[in-house]
Amino acid sequence: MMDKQEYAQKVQKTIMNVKNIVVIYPNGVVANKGVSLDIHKGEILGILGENGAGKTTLMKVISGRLRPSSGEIYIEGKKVQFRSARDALKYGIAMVPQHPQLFGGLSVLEDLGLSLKLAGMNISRERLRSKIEEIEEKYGINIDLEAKIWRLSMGERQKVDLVRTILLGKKIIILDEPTTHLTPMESEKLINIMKKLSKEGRAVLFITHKLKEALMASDRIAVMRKGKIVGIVKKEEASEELLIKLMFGDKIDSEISYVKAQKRERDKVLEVINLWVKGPHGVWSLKGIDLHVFHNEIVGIAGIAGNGQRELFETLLGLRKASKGRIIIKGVDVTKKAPLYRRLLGLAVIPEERLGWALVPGKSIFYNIALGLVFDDKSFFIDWKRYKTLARKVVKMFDVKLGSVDDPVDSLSGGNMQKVIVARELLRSVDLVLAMNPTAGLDFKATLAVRRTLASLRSRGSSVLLISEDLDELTELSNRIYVMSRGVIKGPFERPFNLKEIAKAMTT
Amino acid sequence: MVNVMSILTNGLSNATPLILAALGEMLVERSGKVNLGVEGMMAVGAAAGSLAGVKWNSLAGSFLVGGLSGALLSLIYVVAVIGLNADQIVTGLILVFMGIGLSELIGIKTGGTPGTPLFPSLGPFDYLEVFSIVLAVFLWFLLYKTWTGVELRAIGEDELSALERGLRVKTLRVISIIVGGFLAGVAGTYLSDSFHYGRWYSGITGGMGWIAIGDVILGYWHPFGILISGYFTGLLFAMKPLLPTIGIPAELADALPYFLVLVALIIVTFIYKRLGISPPASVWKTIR
Repeated sequence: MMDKQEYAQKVQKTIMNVKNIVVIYPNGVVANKGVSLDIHKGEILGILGENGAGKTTLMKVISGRLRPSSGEIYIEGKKVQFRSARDALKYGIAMVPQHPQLFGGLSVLEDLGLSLKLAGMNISRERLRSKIEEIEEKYGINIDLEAKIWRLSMGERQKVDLVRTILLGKKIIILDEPTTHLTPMESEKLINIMKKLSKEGRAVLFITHKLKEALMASDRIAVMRKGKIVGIVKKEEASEELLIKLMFGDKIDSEISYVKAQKRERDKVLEVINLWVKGPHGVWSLKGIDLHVFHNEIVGIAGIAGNGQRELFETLLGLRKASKGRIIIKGVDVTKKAPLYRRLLGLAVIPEERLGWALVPGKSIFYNIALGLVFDDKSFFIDWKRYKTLARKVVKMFDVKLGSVDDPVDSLSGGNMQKVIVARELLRSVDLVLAMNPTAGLDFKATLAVRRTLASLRSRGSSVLLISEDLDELTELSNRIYVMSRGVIKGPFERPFNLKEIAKAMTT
Repeated sequence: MVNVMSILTNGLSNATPLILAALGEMLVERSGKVNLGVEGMMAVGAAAGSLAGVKWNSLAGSFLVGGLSGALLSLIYVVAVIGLNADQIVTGLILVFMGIGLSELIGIKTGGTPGTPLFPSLGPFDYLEVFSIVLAVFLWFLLYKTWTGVELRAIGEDELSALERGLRVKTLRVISIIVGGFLAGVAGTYLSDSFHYGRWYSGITGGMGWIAIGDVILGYWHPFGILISGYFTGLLFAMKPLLPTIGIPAELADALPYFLVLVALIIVTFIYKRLGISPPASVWKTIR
């Protein structure tokens, strides 16, 4: 029995209770299976779980974007029902979505002002500007208010969303995987902002699948698995082992095999010679790149985002024209060849954007898998049955969690999407895999699966050019690492890697 | 030298209906839809406006009825595209032919009546010329200085995000389409009232509605841009009579302005790309 005082204290502390939230999506997937959670004033509550555990679904319910199939929400003891995100805003609940949804043609100021107007605050541009500048100064955020949104990077767009939630989330601020587009330094800065916000008495919900960040930021951590909360751990009691155990239920082995490369001149799978390429705005993005990849080798390209990695990726794939220089795949000069020609030579591609680049949104999973094979299909009629059977086999092999291969591919979680992409790319015989940030936004288990697949490709004799912003990933997988900085390549750095040297090359 | 003056004034009055219709279409496209029925709405406006002018001998009445007839026709687009999710391109094309057909039906009633010189001029300008400039300034203010304008632009940028954030997607869109129809109708009435002493004739629009749609792109969905593109195309058409005097056959002279508009379109698209200016993101894309 709780005595009265203790009870009163608890009620005062709690901003929101959610009770028995059940969410069933139209396609029959049960994303939340009876979730109950108390959210306290002035705390950072980490919501940890692998992709597809139901974190984002729960947050959509709390922020009014999604109506649960059943369950109740109470704010300060009063039962509420949200019909839209607008309703939740009125209670001071705001969310930074994982992928910012801003209006490209508006300026930052206009985009923010629009949200304020929706929340019922009518405010002049000048007052809004001074209000935002206040926030910028207080929390150390820098954005150009007059900049058009479409010119901003993903990280900058997220900052806009962050400012929006600070303006509107008087009670609860939800951040859905906010570090996806950030560098480690920026992430640390963000965590400091979260701490400031919680000290002001707001509740901060921090959704993540990164253990370290959850441990670093949170006062309490709620771990979700398969649509349920499987445990709530206080900061003092939390440890990496405990959290991993909660997240996955069993212990997992994270060893990755390492194979030495065959370094003979004739074993070069990819050779890039003095490559000059112009970026989207007509300035030089690549200034004389030289690099090569041998057989049985994973070669890493490290660098801070925006130093020419994207242009390199696009040029190697054949989407961007090289102004000068040569690209040689397996001894064939492909500099002027179309992407298809390069693929037929044995090039597989894992782009950064899963939807839109690698997968066709709205189309079924098996359709997307079949797309990887169309250029081998010489028959006039399409044998959909064959592709369907093949797709079923493949998704099983790669342990993709899905309802059916007929489901639209965008119904999958990020990790499962990536598995479908990797599986599809590896259906053909592959000599060179071109991968860009292949584990960005993936959870622990999916990350491991992707890294393992890349490593096993190497043991089978293929090579990988791995462009990544994740230095841990690069040092774990690569035989050699090049560094890109302002369109110039440095290195290669050889094993064992000297991290300080690499970091220095990245920043100078 | 006399020629130059007349070309300039002709260009000015040619531009006015183009600008009016283009400003209306700009609103529609800013809200994320494309209504290709401008030509049809102009045709109806020309006939209905002319009929009202002849019947009532009132300039204001003529323009009001012309505008309303265009707005009425645009309601069909609203019901089909916004209400019933019909394809916006096909619906727009149907509107063109429907409008031209209705124009014949109404216009025949004005036949035989001698046109009365209804339209007064104010020196080199007339009322509608001044109005079109004022309207452009007003729309600029609306789009860029008011939150409603920002909301409208946001809807045109990204419909799904707009819906998720709770913006008034349908309401603002319907209003834009109806206003667009009204302005196209007024533009049509101007053709009969200003150019032909209030008289309608078959085929009076002669592709002006299509040029207006081109002017929206040429002016890059911006009110002031549309003023410039409107005057530019207006001048091109005013130069038509000049061309035979420099040895271009009259048959070709008829086609040349249309061709030049196309060339201008290609050139400005290239320039805008170079300058890094982007059109509203959802224009010409069908989401649902």
